[in-house]
Amino acid sequence: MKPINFLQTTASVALITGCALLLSGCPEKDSRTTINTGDGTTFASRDFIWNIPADYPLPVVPITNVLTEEKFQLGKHLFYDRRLSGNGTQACASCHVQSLAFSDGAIRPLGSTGEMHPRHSQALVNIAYNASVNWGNPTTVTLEQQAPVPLFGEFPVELGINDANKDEVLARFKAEPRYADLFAKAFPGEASPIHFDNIVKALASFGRGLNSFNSPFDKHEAGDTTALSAPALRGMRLFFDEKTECFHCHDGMNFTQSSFDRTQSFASAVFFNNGLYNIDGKGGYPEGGEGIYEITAKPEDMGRFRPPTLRNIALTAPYMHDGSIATLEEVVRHYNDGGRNITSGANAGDGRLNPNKSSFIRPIGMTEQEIQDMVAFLESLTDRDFVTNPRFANPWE
Amino acid sequence: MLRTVTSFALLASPLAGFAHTDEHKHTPDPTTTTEVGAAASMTWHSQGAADSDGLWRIPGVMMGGHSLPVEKGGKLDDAILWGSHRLGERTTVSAKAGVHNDGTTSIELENLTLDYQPNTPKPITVSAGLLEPAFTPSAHHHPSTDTFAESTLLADAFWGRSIHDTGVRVAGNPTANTEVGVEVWNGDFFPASKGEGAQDIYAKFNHERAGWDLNGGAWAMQANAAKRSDDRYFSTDHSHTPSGVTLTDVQFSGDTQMAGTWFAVSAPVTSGGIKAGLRYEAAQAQSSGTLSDTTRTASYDSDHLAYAVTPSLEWRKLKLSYRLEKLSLENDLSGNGAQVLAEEANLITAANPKRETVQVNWQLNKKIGARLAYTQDNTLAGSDDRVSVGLVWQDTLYKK
Repeated sequence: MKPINFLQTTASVALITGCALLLSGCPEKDSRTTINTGDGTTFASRDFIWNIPADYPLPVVPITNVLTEEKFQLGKHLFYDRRLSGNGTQACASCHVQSLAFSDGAIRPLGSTGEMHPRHSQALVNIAYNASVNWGNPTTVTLEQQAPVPLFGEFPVELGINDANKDEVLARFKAEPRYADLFAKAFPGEASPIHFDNIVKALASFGRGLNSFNSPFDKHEAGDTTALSAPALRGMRLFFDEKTECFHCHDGMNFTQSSFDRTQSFASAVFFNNGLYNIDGKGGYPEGGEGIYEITAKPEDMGRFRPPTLRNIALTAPYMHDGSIATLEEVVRHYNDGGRNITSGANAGDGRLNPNKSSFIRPIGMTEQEIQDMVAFLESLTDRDFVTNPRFANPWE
Repeated sequence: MLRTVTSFALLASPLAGFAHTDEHKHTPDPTTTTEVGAAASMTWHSQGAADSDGLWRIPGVMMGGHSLPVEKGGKLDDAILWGSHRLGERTTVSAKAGVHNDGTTSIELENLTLDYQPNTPKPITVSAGLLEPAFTPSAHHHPSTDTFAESTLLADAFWGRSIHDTGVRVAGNPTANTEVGVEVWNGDFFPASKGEGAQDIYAKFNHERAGWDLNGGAWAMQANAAKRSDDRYFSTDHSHTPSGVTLTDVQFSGDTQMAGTWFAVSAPVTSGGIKAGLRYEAAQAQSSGTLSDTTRTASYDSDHLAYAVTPSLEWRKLKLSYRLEKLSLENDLSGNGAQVLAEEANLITAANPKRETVQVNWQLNKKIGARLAYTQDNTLAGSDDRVSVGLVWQDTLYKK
């Protein structure tokens, strides 16, 4: 080979080698999109196992607590762990039982120190969508705001963690080998991730994943003509009829007007008075159960509570914010009457005449058959998959 | 004499790095007074590049301009006619008109430029009119004069495939093989918006020695936009939106700053008759401004990176090329409308769009070439592969 040809061939080989180096070394960063809506929320990925149909909008997620499967798993372990109470006797799951759609069946629950809660345990169903979180507090709008309340609350005491025992509580988690891995994966990069800020974030992340959209009603909406019984179908038509007005407060995919997802610009945190009490004839409610009046002190807010989702409502008896109505049928009769008339006792008063009552609450005049149909429809909102799904079950068992 | 055509050469010289053949590039001979040329390309694609809804919207990037997807079946890619005429020793006028497969059916005047070279110690050319940019060869893509029928992803994402705009360019040659220039534009091209203006500055060089041919350059551009729509789908005079597809017109207002570098190198022909070449281009685009629809607004900042690498081997009438293209897309939105606008503008992504093309060009005769390409297209959520077969015709119609 002539020298010049050798040089040319070498140069060509060098050029091709350079190509390979360029191909492997081209500058590249991972694509990403971050969104801060100004109210501290961010877009979450559909890659998370949401249990939400693909064509339904996702909830909003705080930018300070990006949702991950690792946080969800840690949150599940904490949710079912009695060591997350001051005296080690209760867990979140003590008052939120999966088989009851994460309510507890009690009229009002007892905390870890025996104090009775003034509110009935809420079902934890699709709570990621809640425009406000509590029965009657418009200022608590995220699960991260809510989670510390049962942990540290004193009025009433729920899980009973306080300054005196908080180090002991954390020590329990630090001593549990399983948590070392769970915390490390949920909060990578933190040298000491076992602290209450992260516990709150993990609990909120677990709550955010508790979604239920697989009831017979959902199957009916998806085109299964056999999913609903004839009474349930009649009840559904009644529910969405102006005659009953039900859907005005319990509308949308979550059967509550108090629902917020990432397609909405503004959260609709609504509260209604449904004529449950009228103690003094001026709209009075029992002390400790006065709705958002306890926050705003506005007379017109007396007795106004957030309309809860009706999904899985058949599993969450007793009903109302104080568990004062025992059965679903009684709830339907309450609305059919346009409120509740209590004729004796400390809470006596005609709720039907409550001056703060929502204009949607008025005598409906349903027949006995229609009442039974309405109950049948509400029962069709029960998602059996949700209450048996191992993904939501106690990981310690 | 060479000075009199510097500006036109400026437009044409980058084409040399890409031209399907060297026979029909746009550069007139310095001794030529008048020249007219033409080219056309048609390609058949086994698959289109659009999504199932008929749209080609790469997740994570706001697109516009002429970045329309290739369509399944056979189509005329483009047909262009260009010419130049020397008016005097220092003045040349040049023009280009053509039809492109970009939804329009009428002949479009793409280029009408007057070049003037004042009597200066170092060559300087002032060009004004409807210009094609000189800052990088890939800023004006013509399937009939390029190796590939499809433009680069970089060009599609960063400036809407091709730039044709009213503007002024001042270019100089500090040395015989270097060139620096400044271009000021009216802004009638993506990512600018009409009348808002854009400017770029560039430097280029070329070097030939012992059979090696090396040319390259670096550039920077700044473009302004006010309520810029994706004019592929929200233009007033035509619409490519497939029927039944409802899009929200998300408009961008703000600045875009871009910078890039490119080079093309070819080795001497080996004793076996093989010639190796490599072309590389990388660019970064950063936008800062606001997004809005009719009811919402959000702040928007983006940092996008793109590159294309094209090694090639030539043997006799055949040329084998492989082109790898990637985009990295970082977007930050904030404000009350950020969530909705991000979805409407298709900005949610965690993927790096990628496209790979293997192509064989075959020069059938002096005027006609054929090309066969296999493309693995991962610019959208799902991967799509296609085979493309095309013919290119180039000719000089008149020369004096």
